[in-house]
Amino acid sequence: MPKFSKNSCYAGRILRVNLSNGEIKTESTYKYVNDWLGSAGIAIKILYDELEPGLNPYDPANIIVFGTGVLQGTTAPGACKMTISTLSPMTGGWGTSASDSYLGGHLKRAGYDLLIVSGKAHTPVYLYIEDETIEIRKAENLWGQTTWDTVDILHNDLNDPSLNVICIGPAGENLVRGACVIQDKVRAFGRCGTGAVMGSKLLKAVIAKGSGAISIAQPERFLDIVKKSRTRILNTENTKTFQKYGTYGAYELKQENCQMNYKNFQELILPDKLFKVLDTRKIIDRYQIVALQLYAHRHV
Amino acid sequence: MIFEMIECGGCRTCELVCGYHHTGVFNPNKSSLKIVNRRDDQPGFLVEIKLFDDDIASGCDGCVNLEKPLCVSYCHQDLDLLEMIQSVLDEKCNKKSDLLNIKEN
Repeated sequence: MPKFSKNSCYAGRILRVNLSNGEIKTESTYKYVNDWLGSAGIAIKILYDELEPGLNPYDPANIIVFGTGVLQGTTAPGACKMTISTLSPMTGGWGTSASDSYLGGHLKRAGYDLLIVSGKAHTPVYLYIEDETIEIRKAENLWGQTTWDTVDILHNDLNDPSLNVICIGPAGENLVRGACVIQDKVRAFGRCGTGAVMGSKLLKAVIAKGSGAISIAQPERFLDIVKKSRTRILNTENTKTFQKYGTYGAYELKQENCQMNYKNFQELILPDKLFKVLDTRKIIDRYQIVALQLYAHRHV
Repeated sequence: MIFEMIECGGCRTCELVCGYHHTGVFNPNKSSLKIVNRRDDQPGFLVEIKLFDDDIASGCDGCVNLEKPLCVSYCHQDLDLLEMIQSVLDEKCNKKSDLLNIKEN
């Protein structure tokens, strides 16, 4: 097992925020990193150690862990994922939801590999993180707003349209079990009902802004590997299809291989008529998320 | 200088490698080049390249010690970006010679 040093992509600190009493503290990431890899790995260990058996996911004793990937904030292709882990209202067990994220990079550059939120606020709040400034701010004016409106209001209030925000909408506030956490209007932490857990803590949004840096032990060697990986990825045939259609590129393949979840997973192949109707491989808009480097996301 | 880049996907790898070029660590705040979201519903992004040093970041030096600029090496629209860097370096030369003329006069 390799030993991780202080120049090993990790920011080095875990930020803990208790919404019940407003306590904010940090601890070292390095006590976990040699045994548990990445944001989800460390989160699983923390959830296992700190949650009591039989806990209700909406109990203030549940914790929600926002984690950044090991390579997030570097140039590694695809290293753009952030995760949210908690005791899931969907399953009653461990749940981790991942999403492409600019916010994760900011959280890491602010100096935190993980953000652990525990307790429950007395009134709706949002978390504002800017390097060493950690603030639990009132969010009464945001409560009840949709995710898009919340992002707009925060951009206006804080006078910074470039801020990256993750937030919940009315579904999360009303503890709908499958509620998502939405990031910057476009990406979603869609699985395991992490939005409902945020709602149970009256935590409307998280904003992070980091001005620090991510260092790597052997940067030249790392960049060389990144360049080779990029060339390899960009030259494969699948990448070209992916660039053209996004994940819709695998539409036919999924139908052939029984991977089309239909009627709440009761069927795995779409009926022929529906297959043709849903084949909307026309591009209306497109954008790419940080570090993905494939230029493959499409809004259809 | 600000350029339009319709085919830019916004991966911001160029910012990271530029920050690395200036500081030896991955810090996009120190990059000479910024990818800016467009607010006019047009495709692509804006590319802002700094000519000279300021309080936060260094000006673009075209990665003089390398075969080609690092940002260009990590961009899938490398030719477009190379053209922009070239314009920036030309503009920088013009401004520098203007400054010298003012001083001499």
